[in-house]
Amino acid sequence: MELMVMVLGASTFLFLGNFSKLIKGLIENGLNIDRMKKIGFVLLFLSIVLTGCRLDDFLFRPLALTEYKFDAFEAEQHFVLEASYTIPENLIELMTLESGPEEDRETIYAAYIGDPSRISQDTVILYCHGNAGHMDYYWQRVKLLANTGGKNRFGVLFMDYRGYGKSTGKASEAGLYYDVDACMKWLKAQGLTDDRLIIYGFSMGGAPSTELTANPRTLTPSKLILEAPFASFEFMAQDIARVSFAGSFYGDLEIDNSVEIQKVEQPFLWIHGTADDFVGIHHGELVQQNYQGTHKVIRRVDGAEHSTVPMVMGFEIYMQLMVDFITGEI
Amino acid sequence: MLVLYLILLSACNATRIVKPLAKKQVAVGLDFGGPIMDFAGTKIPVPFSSVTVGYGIDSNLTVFGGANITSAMFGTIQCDLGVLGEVIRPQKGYIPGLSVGASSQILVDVFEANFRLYPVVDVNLYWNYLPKHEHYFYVNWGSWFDLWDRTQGRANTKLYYPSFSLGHTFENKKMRYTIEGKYITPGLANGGTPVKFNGIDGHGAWGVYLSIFRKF
Repeated sequence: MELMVMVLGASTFLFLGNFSKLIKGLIENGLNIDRMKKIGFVLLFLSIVLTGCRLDDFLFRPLALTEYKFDAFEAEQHFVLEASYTIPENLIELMTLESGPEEDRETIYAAYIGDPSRISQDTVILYCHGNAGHMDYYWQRVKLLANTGGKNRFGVLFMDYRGYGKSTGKASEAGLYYDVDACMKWLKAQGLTDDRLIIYGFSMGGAPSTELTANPRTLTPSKLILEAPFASFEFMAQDIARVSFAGSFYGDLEIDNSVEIQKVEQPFLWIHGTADDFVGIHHGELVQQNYQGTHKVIRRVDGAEHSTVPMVMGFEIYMQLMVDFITGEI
Repeated sequence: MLVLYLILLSACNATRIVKPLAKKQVAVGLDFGGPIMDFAGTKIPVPFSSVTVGYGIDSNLTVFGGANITSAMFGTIQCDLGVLGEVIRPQKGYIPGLSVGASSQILVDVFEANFRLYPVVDVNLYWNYLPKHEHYFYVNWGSWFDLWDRTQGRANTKLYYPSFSLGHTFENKKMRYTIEGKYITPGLANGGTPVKFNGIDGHGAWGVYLSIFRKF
């Protein structure tokens, strides 16, 4: 924002201070080489300054924090589960992971819910959270998954992408993929195999979930769950602009779940609220329509908004859906 | 989040020039403002800004060009070129002047060279309401045409984007100061995205604009 203000101020100053004089001079005295050079310089300066940034950096909405609180987190949340969903502290392991190649390496925070010593036998849900906030904001959702099919039946791993929570660095599209893959590396090191990895992406988390299912790196998820995914960066840009703007008018993000999903053959569960006023259900519809695999489960949740799908469905129904999908009942 | 709001209806510009310039007159102006959005618990106009240059070819014919400064900040050259003709001169009494403008909004990003061009037609009625003064009220009917396909090969089912403006210009020999209110794309639902516009019953968007022109 500061840059915007500076550039606007600078351009206004240049415009009012110099450009009007130049125009006036041109009209009064005719064109000459010196004035053309001045105009050229001003335009060059403006071109360099004005085209120096992109929207990408602004689209991520990380919140930094100094300490994870999980159950003690007191900020406003869409729902808070009752005590029966509480996870014993000895089954919550907060950890740091090194993520990304050497030239783009960051230390990210992740938490495993379950018994790490059982990862070599358990099925694990790798949960990729949305754009806003940090892990504390998604703790209630993760607890639901950790209670799915019975307490700690499935292990759950979730992480703060770089720039989110206590994770170092700056959020980026490449960073999303590095950070989720770093979690896969950790899971693999604990003995997890492809067939027992379920990846779950909520909202923006749908991007790394879809990308790493379509183009596997360390592990190949056996099933993909997307809740309220957006179709693509360009689709979102056109959705907001209402006209046919190219995504590149605003940023370099290449996120395109609706294309990547076409490579996914694994079983796919899509859930989306019909009243989603943030990422409209038509985004998810395009993603699910483009899925080319043979096992697709669809749940349009009547009346649910972007962040209220589990609540509107009912927690028990939501968890039953998860366990049925993960175990192959549906 | 504010920057998300910059991805907007591009019919969000202020009306460039309503009343033709005098013959051989040059006008250079800045305008600020945009659709009204929810932001941080309040409502503010999107901080669009653009620069416009106009030249009077004749007393009833003006050519103009504009460039969106805000778009340029993010690597997209967004400019428009057009011509405005006065069809009816303002008469004494309540008979307004009538002008019609035709222009093209052109967008090119400097990174991938993606290109778009949108034809625009403006119809303006304006009233010089004070004898011996140049001030005028105006109403504008703007029409944007989007003939491009949507992403993912989706058919474009929305080709026409109207807007309606009411404005007032204070004008003297050297300057034009304009304030304008606009209602953009009435009938088009404005929900389902992270950007929350303020329209009527979930449709369209209100906009507010200020512009300053210096005449030479």
